[in-house]
Amino acid sequence: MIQYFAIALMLVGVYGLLTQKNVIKLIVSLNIFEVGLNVFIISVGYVSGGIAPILTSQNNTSALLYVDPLPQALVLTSIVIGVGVTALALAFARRLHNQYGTYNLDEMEGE
Amino acid sequence: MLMDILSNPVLLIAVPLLFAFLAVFLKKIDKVLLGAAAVLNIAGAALIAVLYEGTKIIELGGFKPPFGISLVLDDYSLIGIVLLNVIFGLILLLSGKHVQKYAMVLLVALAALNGVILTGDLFNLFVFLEIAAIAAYIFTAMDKGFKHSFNYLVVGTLGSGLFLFGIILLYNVFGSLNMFDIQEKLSQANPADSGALALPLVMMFTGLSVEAKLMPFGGWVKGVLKKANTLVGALIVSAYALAVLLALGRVISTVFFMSGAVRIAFTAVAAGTLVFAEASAFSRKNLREVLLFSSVAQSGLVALLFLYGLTVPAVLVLAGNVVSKLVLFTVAGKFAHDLGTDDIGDLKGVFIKFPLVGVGFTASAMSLIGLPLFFGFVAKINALVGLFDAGNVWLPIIILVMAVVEGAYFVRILTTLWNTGDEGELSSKDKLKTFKLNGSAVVGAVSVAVAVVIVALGVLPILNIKQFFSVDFMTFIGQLLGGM
Repeated sequence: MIQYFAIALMLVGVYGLLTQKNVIKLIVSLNIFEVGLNVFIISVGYVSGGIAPILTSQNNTSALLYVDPLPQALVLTSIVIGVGVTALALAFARRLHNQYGTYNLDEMEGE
Repeated sequence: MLMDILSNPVLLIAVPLLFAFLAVFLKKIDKVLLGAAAVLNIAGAALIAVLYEGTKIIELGGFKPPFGISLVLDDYSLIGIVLLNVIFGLILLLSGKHVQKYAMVLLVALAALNGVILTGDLFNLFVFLEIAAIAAYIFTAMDKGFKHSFNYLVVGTLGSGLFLFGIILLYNVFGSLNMFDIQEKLSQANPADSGALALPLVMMFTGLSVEAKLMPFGGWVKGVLKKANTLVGALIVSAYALAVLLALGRVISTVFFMSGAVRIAFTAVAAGTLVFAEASAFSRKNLREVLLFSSVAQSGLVALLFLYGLTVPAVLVLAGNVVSKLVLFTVAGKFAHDLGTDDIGDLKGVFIKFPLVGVGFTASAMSLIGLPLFFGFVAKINALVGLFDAGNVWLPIIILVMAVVEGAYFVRILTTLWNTGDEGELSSKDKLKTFKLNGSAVVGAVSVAVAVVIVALGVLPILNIKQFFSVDFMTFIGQLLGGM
């Protein structure tokens, strides 16, 4: 069920990328897309009724039902990359505003 | 023992990355670090090539594959890393003065591109691709073209997001991220499931196509490269093109489960890229625009060959293309920077003034067209023979027609650049404009050296001189041509 929600979020992001003209709104759309993707990645590893995949003194056998830890590791990397890209995109937005005095892509003149 | 450590491919990634961190603190010597990393990587790649004894899987962190991340050193990635590091070194040699404050970014890019070629893990491939792409977003903004860089960033991030989505879908099905593990599981998969596998494959292909410049996903290329300086242009059309297309080839040859419809769709994208890009290149008047569209067209051709399982011809075409493009784009960028224009009409007879540059440029262009006696011929004839052997008639026809188009515009460029005066007019030196090029000797020397290599690799296989060479790559080409 949550996977449909994640895919819907991704589609909202793509819709934003296709329709928005404002640089900041484009960056927000990109982030919505990434959040949807990250939720999807997490949902792939989810096991109904599973516990955190950490061996403790109580949970110390492999017979227990654990959730898949790999997607959680992947999503961490994905989030970090997303933050980096967003920071860079915002820096570009700032420079664009300095250059053209507007955030609207249509109003930016020249090449 | 020491040799084992020094010839570990992971150093090709780790050393530039370490130097990149050092460059943050040692800003004053960041260019020295960049040069040192480039030289060390060339040396490392050479050492790996000398000590190479067949396919090797390098486990990282002591995890046995398919767990953990592993690097793959085989014929394919070996050619890739040797070419990449040599090309990267040449780019720095030719365009070092444009590095400015971007030494750290270039170090990260060098590490990531080596990683892209070497990795055997899908998620790791995504990470390296993304690091390489972020570096590219940054250095394409070097010329203050923030709008185009922003456009590239948005398209690139969306593309790598789709690529990641495809990877996760595959992981969901097979529970593995190791390419060879997935390949093995795919070979046991029920062919009836191919419909379900189409979604992840389409996602991954689309994502990679953005960086591989396949149309329509590679629309960012025009804005970014149209005004690019020699450094940025050469990096994108040669170093990045090489690494990303090799990654695409690796993914196609391992993970992609080609059923009829999926292959037809991908082939249409690749062939469409070839046709549209050659047509666009034909209609352009600026040298850099012609070259960037020609580069896009070559990406389409290489992707097409990979899709039909013709890995060896694809690598040959790719290698010939990136080496030629390195020279062509450096010369074009140099004209634009030093002479203030790269309009073909304004550069009439420029090569009479700089014959060395002209010879290198001409040889590279001829090789790109695929004329005999140049390396491009060896590559293209292999591609065509391979496609015919696979029972395909239409694709060779498309490739040949497009080669004629390519020939037409390159011959037009070459005749203009070698002759003063207008068309139909007798060329005379009196009409030669004064051109002033800084450091034309270095560019000339390097482009002539590249030209010699291109001609040698084009002539030697034809002479069947392979018995005099024990280098694998030469016998490789020799056997291929012998089998015709």
